[in-house]
Amino acid sequence: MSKHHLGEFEEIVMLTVAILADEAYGVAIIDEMESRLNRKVSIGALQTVLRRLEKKGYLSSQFGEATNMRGGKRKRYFSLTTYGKNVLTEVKEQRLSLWEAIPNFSLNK
Amino acid sequence: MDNNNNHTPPRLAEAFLLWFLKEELGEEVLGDLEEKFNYTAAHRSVLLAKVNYWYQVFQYLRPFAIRNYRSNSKFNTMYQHNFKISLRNILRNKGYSLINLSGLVVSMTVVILIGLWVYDELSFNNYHIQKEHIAQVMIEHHNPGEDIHVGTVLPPALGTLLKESYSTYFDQVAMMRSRPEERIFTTNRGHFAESGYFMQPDGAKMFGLNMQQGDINGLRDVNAILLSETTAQKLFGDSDPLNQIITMDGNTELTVAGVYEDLPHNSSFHGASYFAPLQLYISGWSGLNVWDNYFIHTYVKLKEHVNLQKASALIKDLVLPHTEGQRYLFLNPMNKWHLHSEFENGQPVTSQRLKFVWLFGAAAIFIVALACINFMNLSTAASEKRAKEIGIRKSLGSQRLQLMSQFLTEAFLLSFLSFLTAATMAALVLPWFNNIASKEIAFPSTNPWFWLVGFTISLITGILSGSYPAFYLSALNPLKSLKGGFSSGKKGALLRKTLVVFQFTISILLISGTFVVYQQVQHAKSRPTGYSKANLLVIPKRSGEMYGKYEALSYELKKSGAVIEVGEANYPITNTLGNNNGFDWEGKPPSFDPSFNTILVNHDYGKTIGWEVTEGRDFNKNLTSDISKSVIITESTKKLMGLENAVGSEIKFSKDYFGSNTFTIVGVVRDMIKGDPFQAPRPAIMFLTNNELSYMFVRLNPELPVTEALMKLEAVIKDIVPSAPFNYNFVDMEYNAKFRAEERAGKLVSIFAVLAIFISCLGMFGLVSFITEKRTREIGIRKVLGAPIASLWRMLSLNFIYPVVVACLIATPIAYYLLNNWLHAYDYKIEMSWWVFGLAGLAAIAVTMVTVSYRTIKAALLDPVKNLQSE
Repeated sequence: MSKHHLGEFEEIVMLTVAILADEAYGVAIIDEMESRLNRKVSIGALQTVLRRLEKKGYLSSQFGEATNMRGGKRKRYFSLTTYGKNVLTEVKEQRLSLWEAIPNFSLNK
Repeated sequence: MDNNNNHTPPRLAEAFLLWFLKEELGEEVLGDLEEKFNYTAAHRSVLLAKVNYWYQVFQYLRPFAIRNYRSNSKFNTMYQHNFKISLRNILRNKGYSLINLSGLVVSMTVVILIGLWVYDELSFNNYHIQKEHIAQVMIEHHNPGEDIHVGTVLPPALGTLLKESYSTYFDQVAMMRSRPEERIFTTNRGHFAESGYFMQPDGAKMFGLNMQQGDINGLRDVNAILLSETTAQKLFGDSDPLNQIITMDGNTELTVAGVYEDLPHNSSFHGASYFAPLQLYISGWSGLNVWDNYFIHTYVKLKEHVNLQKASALIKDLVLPHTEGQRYLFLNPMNKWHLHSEFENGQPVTSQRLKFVWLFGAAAIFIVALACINFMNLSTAASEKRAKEIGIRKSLGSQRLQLMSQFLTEAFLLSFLSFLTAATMAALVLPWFNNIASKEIAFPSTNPWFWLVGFTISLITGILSGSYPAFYLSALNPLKSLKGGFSSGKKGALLRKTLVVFQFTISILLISGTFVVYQQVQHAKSRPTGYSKANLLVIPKRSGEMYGKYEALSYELKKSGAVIEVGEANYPITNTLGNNNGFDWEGKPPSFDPSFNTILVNHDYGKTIGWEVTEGRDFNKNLTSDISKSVIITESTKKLMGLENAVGSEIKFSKDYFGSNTFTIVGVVRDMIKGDPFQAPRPAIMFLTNNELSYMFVRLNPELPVTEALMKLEAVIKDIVPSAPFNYNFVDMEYNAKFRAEERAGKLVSIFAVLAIFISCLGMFGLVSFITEKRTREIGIRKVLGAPIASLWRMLSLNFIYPVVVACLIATPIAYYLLNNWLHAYDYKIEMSWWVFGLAGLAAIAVTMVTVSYRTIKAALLDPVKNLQSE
């Protein structure tokens, strides 16, 4: 593994943020993960990871507009930084190279 | 999505979230949560939304989100700083801290144990939930010419009368046999000797027996019995005891009507293995309306509104019409039974138990005081070391109160640390303590009160030990202390000496107490008893089968070689049961009617127990005229009767219990100590009978090993009365049991003494170490100039020995006064000699000398070159 260690959940969160592009904020990320992966996550748990990723420099965030639905509170939108994108790509390539290295017979039933 | 705004997220959850959440996260997080809430409320249900909101809030309790509470307020920083400096100071002076800590730990352990013990004493009988309303009927005997005697034993008719005619005052009245009765119970698992009470059925409810099985009113059936859990387990193992049949004393079949939870050790009825119907006890020989036989304890439960004093006054004269003597009744409430039920001449006096509560409570407090003194002395003595620190603090603008709080923090830190360690220690040594104090206290680790009180005590200890150093150290002059010319003044040294004197006074008091208690117990133990206890067995005859076999048993036992003598009496030899008044003799003043210990014996009794005839003769088997006609009296009876020539005198007895009314004294024997070995012997009269009596005495053959003799004895008894359950007791063991209370007190006092001297010496050691350390350079110079080690040792040590000598002088008269007071309660006592106090003082001085010398000699032996080299 390289110096960029990504946890499994971290990776999923980053991917989801990437999918949502400009619409990645707390509840939206959770909904997306729920619908795509059928995975229940509490907002608190998600926030922990988002903060960590932001601290590591993989994500950046800025406040967006306020809506009535949120009782007049603003959203915080997350987006991938260039660094984050690089890390994500690197992780993907590592995975792929591992997959390719598997001899055919070991996954055939 | 615009939905109804009627539903808002739970406000409490929101407030809670905002309370702990980092401020910068607030807006976004609340927004997210509210969005989710509104969505769920609209699409699922409001309730679900609310529950989910709470769930999400709790999910935010994560390190990243929680607000940082290390605020920068002046207040907090100060305390953090104090705490940090205290900890550093404690760690830097490891030696002194250890001395302080070990002293405090030891003393707090003592306090915890004594505290638990005192609580146990004070909460006695709390198990009985109706405690507040229960009282026992007591009786005052006003015998002419004697002190008023307060007793508890009453005739059964009284209880019946109370029950029938005084039900407006008493909810329940329950009579009980006045002492536990040992009975043999037989089940298919064997014979078991158990002691318990015969009681009227209402008693079970009155005393709040906690029935595990069966009926609380079970004793209404005369052939029923209630068993304690332990007994039930013993008698029936794992099978269900309810409604099983057990045989009592081999002749009565009883049904188990219920099983109650074992009564706790701090209940007056502790150890009651069973409760059986009183009716069963009296059937055949007495009745519930008998006025002239006293063998019953009577308990009442007062009605809610009834005043105890009023009820007590009301029943006062109830026995008067039925007795010739002057006897008055009163009620003794249950909360007074344990600690407030000793009477002298009819007046309540401070009971022995209450005295112990005070004594041990005081001892515990003193021991803590000793440890506090160590702390004070060491911290003021060490003030020089910290003078610079204080000077700097002060010149930087520290206020006195702030400095004081610094030193107090140190004291609190130590005392809390000690308390936690002491609690662990106490929990560890509790079984051992229970053993000595004969208690069954459990460590209340889950009782919040225990911890609350504990922390309060450590707070007080902290204040006690920390306030003087705080006051003293914070008063130092910053200018002087910074210049380095500071030395702890004469005032400090004087106070330290005073405190040391106090410490050793307490220690010497306790040491002399140990000596005197020990001497007193030994004195009473070596008291001539008037009979020989060694190898003497007593066998209570419990079963009818044992009767009528005396001759055979006696013959066979002696033939077996295991036994040399066999005799009988109607009471055991280690108590003074069986007392009567109503005697008359020549020269008796008319109003004088003392009561005597009256027992029935057979011919062989005297020989078997080995009484010592001083005048006249023993009963003679060949003289049939002896039976029911002759008596033997003890020396104190002779003295009480004032008979010059006792042998041949006649005495008359108003009742015919002993076969006739007129008796001739044929012999006088030395007083026999059957009751309290610390009190004057009870005057006794022995009557002769040739009936069989309920206690058999057996003198084992001293030539044979005891186990072998016992095996032979058992074989013979099994042979002659095969199915009779029997057991035996060694008289010397029963006799030695009488010393338990005093021995226990002696043990505890000696433990206190050891701890006190230990803590005092610990402090002394700390002081000496400190002073010699300070004087190392001086010692070096003296040595270089040629001072011999002995003179150095003397110079350093004398200063410390001298307060101990003063302590001796102070302690001796106090100890004499206190111990004299203690001995006052005993008839048979030692004469205190002055050498005891001398010895106690010498012991204290010797221990101090060793402690001090260890340090001073070490200092005197140091190489002066090394000492002077530095600088």
